[in-house]
Amino acid sequence: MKDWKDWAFLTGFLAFALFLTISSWDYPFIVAIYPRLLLICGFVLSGLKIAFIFKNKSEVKVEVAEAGPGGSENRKYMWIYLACGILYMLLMPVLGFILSTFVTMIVLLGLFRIEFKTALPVAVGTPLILYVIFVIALEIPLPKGIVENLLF
Amino acid sequence: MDTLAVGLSHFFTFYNLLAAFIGCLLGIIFGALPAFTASMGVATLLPFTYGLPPDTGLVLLASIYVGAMYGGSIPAILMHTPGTPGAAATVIDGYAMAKKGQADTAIVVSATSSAVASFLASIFVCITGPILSFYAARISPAEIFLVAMLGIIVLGNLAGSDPIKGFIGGIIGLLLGTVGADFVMGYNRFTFGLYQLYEGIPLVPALVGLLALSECFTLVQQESGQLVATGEVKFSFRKVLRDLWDTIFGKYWKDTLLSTVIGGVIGFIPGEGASVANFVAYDQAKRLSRHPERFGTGIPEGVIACEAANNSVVPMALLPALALGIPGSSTAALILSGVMMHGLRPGPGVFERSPEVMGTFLIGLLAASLLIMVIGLIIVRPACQVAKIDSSLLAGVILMLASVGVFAVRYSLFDVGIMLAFGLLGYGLKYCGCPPVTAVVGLVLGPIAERSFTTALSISGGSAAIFFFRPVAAVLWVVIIFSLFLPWLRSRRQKSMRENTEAL
Repeated sequence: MKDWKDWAFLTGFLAFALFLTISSWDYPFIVAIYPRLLLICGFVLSGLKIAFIFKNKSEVKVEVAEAGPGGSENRKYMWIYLACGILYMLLMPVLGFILSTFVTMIVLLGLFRIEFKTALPVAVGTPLILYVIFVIALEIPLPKGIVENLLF
Repeated sequence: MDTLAVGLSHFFTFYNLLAAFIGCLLGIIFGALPAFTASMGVATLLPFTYGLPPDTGLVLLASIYVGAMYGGSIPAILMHTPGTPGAAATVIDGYAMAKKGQADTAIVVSATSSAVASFLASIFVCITGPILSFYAARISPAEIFLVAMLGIIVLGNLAGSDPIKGFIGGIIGLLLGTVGADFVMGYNRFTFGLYQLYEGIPLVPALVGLLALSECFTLVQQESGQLVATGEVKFSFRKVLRDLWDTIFGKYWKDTLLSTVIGGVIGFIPGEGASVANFVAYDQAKRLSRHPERFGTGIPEGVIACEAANNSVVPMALLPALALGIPGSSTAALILSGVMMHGLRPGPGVFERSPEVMGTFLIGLLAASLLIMVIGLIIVRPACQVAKIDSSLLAGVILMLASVGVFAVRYSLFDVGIMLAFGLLGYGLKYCGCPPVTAVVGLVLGPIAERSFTTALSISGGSAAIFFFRPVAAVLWVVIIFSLFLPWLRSRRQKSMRENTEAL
């Protein structure tokens, strides 16, 4: 399991580093020197890590079960959470801050199986409290959106 | 001393006092929530300070940090669940005291020792911070670059058994810090035509994503466990006064002072934090006690050792962050970015450049330290109620809070997208065993490191010798090389100790 995570980490980093190397190929020398030095350090460290992985593989070791951040059963909640974040970002310019916060909270808490009698006051209270803090206390305007502009 | 005098004259305004009070209150609540950390609290509320004056905003952030560190002890004592990793050792004697019906004493000694330790460490920071910053301002750009590299290397060691991952995490942060117009020619690097990135990756959304949202991604996957609630906590005025006296001046003063010093030293070392300090202080208190066998059975000394140590970490972790620009912990990195968000340049010379803001910030630290003693006792019962709330519900509220806060900084939905992307990146790093704090520190230190690097090269006419052949640079190289090999030496020592134990 640990090896798999190590490889995932290294693959991700190498893909990112390679992408930056190619992107910076035609940059002027003075502009590219610092990121290139960092990229070289990154490639060297990745090489070292790969060497360590192979070295450790050759040694006999006892596998210990690791407690990761959540099993695959619960990982769907993470994706729901992320999707709700994206939904909120997309809804805000259309519905406006108050309505989009309410809708996203209701959807999110519903998908998290929070009881409706708990979810409703939280979904109503959150935009109201945020409105008081930002718009009234800090005088920072929040997006009204197309729908809120039509309604109010 | 001038900075402090200026700070004293600026701090006592209604808004600063209110910020210290609200910060402490929110910090204690955040700290009391199991699975929520001080850095999460500061990260979530960081964008809120944008609309405030710089001094008020920074007082708020410092108070949240101080409050959260104490708040972690409340569920540790009453529910056998540490609110923050820094209160993990508090559970041992704190919960044992609660089971014996001494929860009130445990809470009072915890609040008092936290306040005293934080206050003493803050005084030390108030005195040494401006001096350290003054002398640090006299070092050359080449040495500033080396100091920044040292910060990355030391924090790379945070990755525990796998420091290479920590170093790579730091490089990811440094590389992300190169996005945007460069310092020499104004050439746009890695922006891919996105004008929102011309000034670099916006720091606040990136930090909120890496530290707060990535935690929430983990949090929503955990099932809410049943917390072990204890009976009601009742305070009597006379008993509170007696416990308070015992902790500060009475029979426990030595324990309070010793643990404050231990926590302070550990807090100053970048990468080591409250979670290390409270166990080390507990262990030392046990070793030096005349009755070590009583530790773990529920005695105030056990609670004082942990709480004094973890709270003295807070101001001391801020010392290298403010004076040298090297954040010693994720929360210190957030406060550093808060300083930057308000248009100040942290690091060498910051106290000379902005005496009003930095002086007010230091006085705010002192005020927050005293406030936790008062608020800490009043808020015990509500904090316990909050700690029982479903974590998914809180994660949902945090998503809204963070999104709106991040949006409000530049009125940009693009920034909300950046926050979500960095949340995913932080989760990915954590999942692969690389603490996101390494990337955070890289991102914060990146522009400072690059500016120093290019300035040093232009001073030397392109010669790299400037990074080696100066006395301070040579000393820094020795420290850097030692820090690079420290994890290897540590693992070798542990291996030999294990072999010796097996042989016995």
